[in-house]
Amino acid sequence: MTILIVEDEAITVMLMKVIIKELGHTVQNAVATGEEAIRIVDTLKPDLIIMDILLAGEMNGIETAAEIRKKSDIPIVYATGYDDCDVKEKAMKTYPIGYLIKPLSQSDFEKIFDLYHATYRN
Amino acid sequence: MIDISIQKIVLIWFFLISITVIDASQPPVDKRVLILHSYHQGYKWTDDIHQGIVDILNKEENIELCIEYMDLIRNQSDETLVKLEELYTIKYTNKNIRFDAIVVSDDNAFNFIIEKRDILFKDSPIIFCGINDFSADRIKNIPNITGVNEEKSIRQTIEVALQINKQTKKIAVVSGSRLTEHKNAASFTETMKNHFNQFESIYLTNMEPEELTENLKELSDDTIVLYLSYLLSPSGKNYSYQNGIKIVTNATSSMVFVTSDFMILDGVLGGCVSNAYYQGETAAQMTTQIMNGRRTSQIPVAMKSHNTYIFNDNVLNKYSIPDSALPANSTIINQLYTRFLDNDHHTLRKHFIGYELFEKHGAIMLFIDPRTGIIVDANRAARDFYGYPRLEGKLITDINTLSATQVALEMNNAKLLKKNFFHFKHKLSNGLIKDIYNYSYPITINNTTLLLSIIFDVSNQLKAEKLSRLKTIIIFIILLLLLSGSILFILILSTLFNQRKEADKKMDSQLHFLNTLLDTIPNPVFYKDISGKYTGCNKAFEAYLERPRNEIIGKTVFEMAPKEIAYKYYEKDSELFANPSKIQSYEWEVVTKTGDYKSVLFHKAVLFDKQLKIINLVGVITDITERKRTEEKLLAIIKEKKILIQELYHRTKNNMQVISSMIALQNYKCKNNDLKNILLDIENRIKSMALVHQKLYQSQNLSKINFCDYLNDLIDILFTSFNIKSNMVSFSVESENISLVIDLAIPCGLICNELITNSLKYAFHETGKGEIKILVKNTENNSITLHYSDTGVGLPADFNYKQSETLGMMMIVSLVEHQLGGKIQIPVNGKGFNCLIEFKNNSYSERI
Repeated sequence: MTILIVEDEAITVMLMKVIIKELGHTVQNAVATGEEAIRIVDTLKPDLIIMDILLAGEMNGIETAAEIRKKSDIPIVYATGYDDCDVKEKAMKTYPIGYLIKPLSQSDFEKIFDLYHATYRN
Repeated sequence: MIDISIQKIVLIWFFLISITVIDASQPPVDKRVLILHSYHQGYKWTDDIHQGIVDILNKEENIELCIEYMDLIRNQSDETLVKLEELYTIKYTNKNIRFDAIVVSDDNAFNFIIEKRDILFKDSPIIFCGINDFSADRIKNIPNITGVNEEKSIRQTIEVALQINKQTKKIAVVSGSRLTEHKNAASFTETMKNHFNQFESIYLTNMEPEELTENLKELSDDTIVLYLSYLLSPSGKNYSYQNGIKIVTNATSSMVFVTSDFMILDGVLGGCVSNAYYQGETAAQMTTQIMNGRRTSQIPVAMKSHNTYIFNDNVLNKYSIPDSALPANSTIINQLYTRFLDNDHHTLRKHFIGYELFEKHGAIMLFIDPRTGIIVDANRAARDFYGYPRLEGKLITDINTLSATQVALEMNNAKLLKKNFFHFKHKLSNGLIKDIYNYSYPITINNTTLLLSIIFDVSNQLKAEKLSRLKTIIIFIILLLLLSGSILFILILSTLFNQRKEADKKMDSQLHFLNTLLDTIPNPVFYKDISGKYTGCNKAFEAYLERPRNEIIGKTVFEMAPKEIAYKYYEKDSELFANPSKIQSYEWEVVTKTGDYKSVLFHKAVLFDKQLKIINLVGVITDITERKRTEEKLLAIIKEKKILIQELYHRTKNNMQVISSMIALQNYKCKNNDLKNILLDIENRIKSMALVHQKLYQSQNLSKINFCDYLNDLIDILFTSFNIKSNMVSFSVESENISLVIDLAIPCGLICNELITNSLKYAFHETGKGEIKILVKNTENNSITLHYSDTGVGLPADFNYKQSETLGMMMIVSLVEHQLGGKIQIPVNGKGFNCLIEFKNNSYSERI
């Protein structure tokens, strides 16, 4: 499985990459802004996008996901520190397959990948 | 000379003809409005919205309406949208037709117009309606737009469904495959999660009709069905709203509830429903205001939908649901009308033995349902008198000149005074008003009580009586003149006249005093009659509304204020009439003639006549606009402060999370197991502190956290960290509602982190199984005790925690005794591990 990470925190990206590699998958690219993610998603065509909500640049993660949704059905998982209902409600409108609360652990990723395989097995 | 005259006449004639021709060929059109519907004519929701719009706009003079139905339920595709854009370009844009307003109904038309306005209808104001769960984000940065939100009352409908069917354990939701239907299903999910998480949700969404039917048939008796809509199947087949509902009601014996009034068809029980007519009507009222020069920015989006409880009487009877199980303000439709008048047989005729006598009797007779005011049946004499071929199904207010409130008050008075006679004025189909005497008696037929009203037309009789009284007075005067002599008579008349004049003078002086007093009061004061028409006001009221008295007297609020504002006045007036003994006080808004909105405080009371009948309502207004503005400013400052503190907690938590990520990264690279364990311990300690900050920014007051919630989340983090399965080690947290300030929460969190870590690492290594219990409670002197225990291997008999040199134990002791100023006990006898900690809850005060 190929994965695009949209996350502005470099250390968090490093940790995600290690965990994802540990679980046998590949991080295709990691970008810090929503604008960059939108720009490359068409050419990259990842199997899964891991999206932070608070990003560098003008757009936040939910706006970025909404833009991506307009042209693509690539499954999106939010990975964020925001755990309040308002933010979750807005995020749900972009139909993500998961919503992870930081700090992230290996078992969080295992669950998401299991869910991904169960939903997109065909 | 003659030639010149003829020439002049011809010229004048020609000039007049020209004017006439111009007038006849170009009727003056001042304004042009486009009504753009997402769906088609014949779709009840759209038809009702449309009716609401045209009922208002047709009252305006010189407005040309252009109506377009996009028909997107039956033809939803990108191609349709492209073709529609081309069509509107040809019809309007290319002809330079400019609209003074565009009213759009439902999401498709809304999205289309937002995207295409600049190309097709540049600068035209947009007024939307029928937009589900509207949020301000949708029109962010879009100028010249306002409209009406359509609230779907999913929560209220489920609440009332649970109130009606107390056996309910499961709630099944039906929704189709359109995008709007997906969104509605998502709203259901949120509602269930937030309000009804103890009930099981069954999703009958995104299914083909066969699968849907099969699933509906299998629903158990403890299930209710919430029908949101079924307009599109996953394979792309469209269903009319009637057929969608029929699929559901035919397949299930469970109660079916809905959230829109037009869906209450055969077999549907009802619900808290939105009303399409209101949507259209409100959007049209906004349009009228825009036509009259108000800017869209001055007209706020109407967020309230005025959804009401409506139920279907047929279905209520089917499930034997009494009216008492429904909310007090419910409307029941199909009541009696269908109970008595089915398609072929007139049940009333079957059950009322004297029906033929009723039908053929020369007296005008009506059967009326006393609860709803519906005319259930009318005899031949009634049909002839009122001039209608059918009166069944009409409301009594359709023929009575009094308003519904007045009729209700009269009926209520009659009930209190036990009277069965009324003097009303009734309107005939040709517009004539007749004085009638009405004698009403309750009659029970087929277990239903109806009022049998016998009506007497007394118009001629009253006229004759009046004439006769006048004649009597004249004869009396003539007789008096003849008998007593004219001088004596004139003296009597003069005395009477003087007395009357004196009384009038006194009255005039009192009235003048009262009027001067009223006009001197700086607060606006008004009075209205029972039908809601203004009958008087003081000068302050005129100045406040920026209207002269003649523009106020005789009008109702609905003629002077937008509907969403006037409706509340009407509701409050009705409330006061129903409970007239108290002075009513409430805060609301007033709109001036120039469209300014002012915040006001009303005080209202009613006036009675000698017979204690309500005759008037008087109100005093206090302007609280400034106070409201100050309140809003203060609230904004508080909100800003809250956001700032939340942001601070959030960033602190984020930074801690980055630190813990760095340690986790280091751990992945590390090969030495001892070092790995140390790194994991540090990582968890930081996570336990970060969790306090997370809980703080989520808390209501930003200064305290709920300790029980915190402990549950901490245990989750540690179980994940040590890869412990909950079926191997169980845990339970019993806690009273204890909130801790940050200064106590951080050390308490760290203590619990050490205790749980200790148990997970060392207590259960023999069997891998065990149990952890945490009991937290308030004790005397504002103290808290925390009792931690596990069922593991326990401590060695010679263990002394004060001499322990492990870092975890040293931290626990130091945090309890030094930082919390508390006491700790770790007994070594008994099974497993036990630790009792006690500390004061007031050693730190709140910081915020």
